[in-house]
Amino acid sequence: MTTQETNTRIAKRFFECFDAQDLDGALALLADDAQFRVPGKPSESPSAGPYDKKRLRRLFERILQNIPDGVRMTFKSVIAEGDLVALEMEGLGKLSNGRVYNNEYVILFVIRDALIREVREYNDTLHAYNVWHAA
Amino acid sequence: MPLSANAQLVTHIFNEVAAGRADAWIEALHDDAEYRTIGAGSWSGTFRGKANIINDIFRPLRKRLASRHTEATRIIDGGDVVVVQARGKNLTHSGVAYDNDYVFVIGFKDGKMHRYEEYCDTELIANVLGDRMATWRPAEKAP
Repeated sequence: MTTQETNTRIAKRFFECFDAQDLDGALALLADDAQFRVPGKPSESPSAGPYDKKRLRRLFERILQNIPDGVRMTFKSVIAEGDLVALEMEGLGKLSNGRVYNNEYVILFVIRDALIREVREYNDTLHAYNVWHAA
Repeated sequence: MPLSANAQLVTHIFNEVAAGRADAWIEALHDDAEYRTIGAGSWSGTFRGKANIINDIFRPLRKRLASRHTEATRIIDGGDVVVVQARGKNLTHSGVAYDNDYVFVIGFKDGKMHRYEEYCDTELIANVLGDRMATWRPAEKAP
């Protein structure tokens, strides 16, 4: 297996674990000093900004507390080169307040030595705000 | 490993765009291109055909923005598909900063950009650019 194939597998595995609500499994794929960036301006959206591993666990726990059946993550395409992997994905989940979260993403990974070093998420932030934060 | 022809094209385009020469981007767009911005706001959706893309997205955008700058920060060469991570630094005519972060997923046909998917901060678009149709007039429509 090439490095690119290994990295693609790790990137996909991260979201397969999240989909299965296996946070330990997902977070084990991250380097201890990994950074995960949620899109948006922190002044506009409370969840936007950089997360270290510890804060990311809390964010994922909050998401899953509000979406008890979990978020189904569907891969649409994978583009990889060297230590970079981009996943095009769709996420679908129903919040306990009845709202439906159905977002689309590109997630960029930097993966070295079989560990995720950096994750940058791009998604429809207006939809995320309206579902998670709007009154 | 050498860059694919598509990644070379994209690298050239974004070097030109960063230098303020947007013509290279327009030139590299396929006549039958599809441009899609994620989301459900007025700037979101799929726009088909080069003339419509210019008329329905870039003309209203020009009316909103007094200065524009987009810079690619990372290019992922997938061969048939190229991903561009980019940062915008723009100012509206009313002096508000519009600094969006982007990922463009670009597919190709006949050596030109054919599928162009824009992932960006849609909440920022809504807050700063407002309603696209407010700046669009049918008279602007390309012949």
